[in-house]
Amino acid sequence: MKDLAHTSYRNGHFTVNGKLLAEPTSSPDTDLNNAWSALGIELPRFPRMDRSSKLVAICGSSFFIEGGALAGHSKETIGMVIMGKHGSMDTDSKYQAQLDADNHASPGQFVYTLPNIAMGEFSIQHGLYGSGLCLLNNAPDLSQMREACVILLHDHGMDAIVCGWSDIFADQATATFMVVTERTLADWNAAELEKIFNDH
Amino acid sequence: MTTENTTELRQQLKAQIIQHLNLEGRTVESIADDMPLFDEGLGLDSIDVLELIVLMDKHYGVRIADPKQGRDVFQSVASMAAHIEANR
Repeated sequence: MKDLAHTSYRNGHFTVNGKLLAEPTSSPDTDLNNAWSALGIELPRFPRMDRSSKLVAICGSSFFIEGGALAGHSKETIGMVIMGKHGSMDTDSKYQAQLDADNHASPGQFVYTLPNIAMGEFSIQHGLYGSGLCLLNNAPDLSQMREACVILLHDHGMDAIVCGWSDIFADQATATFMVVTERTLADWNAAELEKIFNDH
Repeated sequence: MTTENTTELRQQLKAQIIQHLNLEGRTVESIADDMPLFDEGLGLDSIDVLELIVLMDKHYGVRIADPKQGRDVFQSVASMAAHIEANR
């Protein structure tokens, strides 16, 4: 699977197709901002997004920049399959803490208190109109991801899927994304993908 | 309210908007009193409006009773300050 387009973020280490673009500092929030800056994409809303949405934006956006695997691809037929463990718990807990502290809820946080919002935010950023699946699991399950991609590719008219694992809670953030097409399915190498997704 | 107080309120609002909406790279000085808050101005969106509603309630005890009011109130920092001065 040497042509597999993939990105990875592990607590500040951000790589695109295996090339390191950002390294960790002492602050997880700074790390997310640095990883985004490394992509060189202008997005005024980025600082106001929740951390789950930032993580998806960081790992998914490189596919759409010039030279990326999905640059120039029809936005109508790009789907998404995102799996994670904590869903929106990172934002949920902050929202609840704010309510407990001063009885004033932040609408800007409230809108992110659903696990699939990060996908929606990403779709808006990139103008995607395809189908999406948000899955919760204890750990990356590549056979489930493959099954979900097959459904979107074969039954929902998609021809490319932004697929991966994205999980953030407290100060732990891990994400690995790849582009799945029919060719990816044909070349599917479970051992190689396990290494990409779990090689910490 | 005196002109001096209005100026102070506007400056305070700008600082609070930058802080509440996490407008990285923005300074109080970079926001003109009559700069549009949306689109070509500060570029805020509908979610940000909800934050501004909470900001006015929390810090000034001023609520937007009629959603239609919002369009006029949130045109600029100057219009927000005027609404606060008239209602608190």
